[in-house]
Amino acid sequence: MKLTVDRSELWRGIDTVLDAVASKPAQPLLSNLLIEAEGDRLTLSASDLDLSMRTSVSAAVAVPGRTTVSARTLAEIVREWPEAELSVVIEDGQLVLSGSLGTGGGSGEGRYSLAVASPEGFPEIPESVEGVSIRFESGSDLDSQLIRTMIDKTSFAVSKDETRPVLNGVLWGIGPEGMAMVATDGSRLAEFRQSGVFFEGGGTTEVILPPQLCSQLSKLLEGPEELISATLGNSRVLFDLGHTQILSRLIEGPYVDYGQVVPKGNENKLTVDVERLLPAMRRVSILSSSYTHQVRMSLSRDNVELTASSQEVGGEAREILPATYAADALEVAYNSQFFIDILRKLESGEAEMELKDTATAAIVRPAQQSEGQELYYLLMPMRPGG
Amino acid sequence: MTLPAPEPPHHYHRKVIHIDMDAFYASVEQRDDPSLRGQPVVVGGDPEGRGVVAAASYEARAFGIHSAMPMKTAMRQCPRAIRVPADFGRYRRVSAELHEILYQYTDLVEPVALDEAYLDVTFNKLDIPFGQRAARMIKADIRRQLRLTASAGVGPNKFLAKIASDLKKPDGLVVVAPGAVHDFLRELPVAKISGVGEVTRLRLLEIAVTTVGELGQVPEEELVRRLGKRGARLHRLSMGIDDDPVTPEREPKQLSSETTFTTDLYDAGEMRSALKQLAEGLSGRLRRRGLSGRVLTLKVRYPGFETVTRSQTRPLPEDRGAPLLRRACELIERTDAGRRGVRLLGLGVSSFGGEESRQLDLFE
Repeated sequence: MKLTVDRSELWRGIDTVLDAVASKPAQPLLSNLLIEAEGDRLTLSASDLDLSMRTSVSAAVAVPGRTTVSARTLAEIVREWPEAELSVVIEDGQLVLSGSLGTGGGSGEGRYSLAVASPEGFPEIPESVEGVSIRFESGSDLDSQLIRTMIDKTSFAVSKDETRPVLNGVLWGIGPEGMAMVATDGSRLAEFRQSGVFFEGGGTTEVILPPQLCSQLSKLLEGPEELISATLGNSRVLFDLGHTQILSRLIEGPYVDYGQVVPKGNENKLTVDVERLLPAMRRVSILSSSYTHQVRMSLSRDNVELTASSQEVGGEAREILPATYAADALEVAYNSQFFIDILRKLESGEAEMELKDTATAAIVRPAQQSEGQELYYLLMPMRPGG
Repeated sequence: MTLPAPEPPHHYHRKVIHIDMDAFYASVEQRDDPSLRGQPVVVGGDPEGRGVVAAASYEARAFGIHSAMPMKTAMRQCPRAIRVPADFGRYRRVSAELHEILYQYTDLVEPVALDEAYLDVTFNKLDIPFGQRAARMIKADIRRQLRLTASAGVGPNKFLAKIASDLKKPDGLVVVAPGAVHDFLRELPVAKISGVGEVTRLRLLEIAVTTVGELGQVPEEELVRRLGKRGARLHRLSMGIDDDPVTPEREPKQLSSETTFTTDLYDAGEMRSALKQLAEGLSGRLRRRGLSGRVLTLKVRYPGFETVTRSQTRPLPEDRGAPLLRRACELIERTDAGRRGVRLLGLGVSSFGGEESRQLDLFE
């Protein structure tokens, strides 16, 4: 292997796949990056067996080749290296990284040689997997931004309780009417449904995406890369972003039948300004128990009253906000942190809430939704006590 | 009937079990830390200060260490004893697990301390006909589920069950059958009766009483003359009679607090500040007991002892002072207070939730 590459390009590639390097690798090889040089691309891959990522950057390859090298060591060196053109060569069984320490003359020279390990057995990302394929098109109804928004609005509600493994992921369902993502931990539930998006093939399927995959995907979609396709297989899913691919194991289903927990007959309707309710909830929660975070919401005609008390701090908080409410007076207790999480996702504008009693989930949704979009949250109350 | 009955006033003999965990705190420590097993372990305060021994393992007891002994003395008697600070939170959790086991047999469980409880298994949930069998099963459950040992005493009342549990510690099981009560008590030293301390023991020694059997020979009037009211109780106990029922722990149904004014109040501000004090005091008492209630009741007494109450029920239980006060002020509006003088104000909270605050789950 022999090539030259811009330090910034090399760093961008390493940084892209670094999160997929196993922190506690099942086998020593998985603490390495797979490096492949061919044509005018340098390809970097990492895997912790559940999640595998591959990305390529432009490079001037003189001699193609492939090897593996300690991911952390290579990342630390390249991160600290000033902007320059680097030479990467395999010499005497070692990966040699060298170049000037900066652009322009008189910057000095650096040379690092690193032990390599044979790439044999390194998990490779296949070019394609069996399953239902979706093609994305930038600027259309079905583009990267939709996926990013759906993940952002739902994945925070994923359960961390390992005793209910299906809830440890985001349900992604696609069908002829559109697609939906759902996440819940039992205390709250988030669903984002987008109708009117059509994709080739028109298959119907449901998969459960691990949260690590969702966060990597979100991170990548913040950058310049756009989704080209996704393939939803039986046990794994492959996302193609052009120069970058992510392959992830799926969480085994079936997902919970969440439709049946969406309450019907919540007739106490409240409309309140998120920009009032969110900061009020934040302030009142300062005096909630640090263990339960319980805040009480009392509704009366066109009024929302929030109260909390803390035995630890020794104090009580109370705020009264204007709202639109015409139903019977109602008082319900919630975990303020869960409430805040939801309000943050509503961003600005008005929130519509539908409530029933002290033990039924509240339905929370933004008053304004884009066409074809249906976002709503369920928030279970707390049973208050001593 | 004023004379003491010769037999408990029951148509049946009760079956009472006294469960006493062996060296409880020390055993929990040894269970949770294998390096302490087989070692003299003392649980309790700092020997530098005035700490006392809260519990001593049986290995430590061999050195004469016992609970309530100053830690300094204990460490002198056995310098290689391992001192462990008491972790009451953990002991309370184990105690709650113990109670769970006991409640599987009967709801008639009277906890005496973290490590001690009475059960009345006369009629029990598992229809076990013999107290001895129930005690054996409970001991086995404790061993299996808590990995600890307990001593059990079985008898027709709490007094006999408690003495019996103490006789074969650790891991003992002693049964006092109703027909064997007198034999059981005859040779028993009087100091085994709970409540008979050193002073009483010496008083009894003056009349040559050292055993419970001898105590039974003393006429009741003489015991009352020598020991006061306790004498009558001791007389009954010496014959094995104890009617004290096993009383399960109960929460109060209402907590309230009231205040009477030296001169009748007419001023709304004065009434409000009286209510504020009541609400805050009540809130503190509710919180100390971990209670919170849905119903608030206001009591108002006018001059001439006419008393009215007003109450308000809310969907959520309340234990906080400020909301209680707000509601009390709403309630007082619904009385004649102010138009008429107020001699007494009271506030009470009832309809307790009784459960800890908990996040509800969509799927449960």
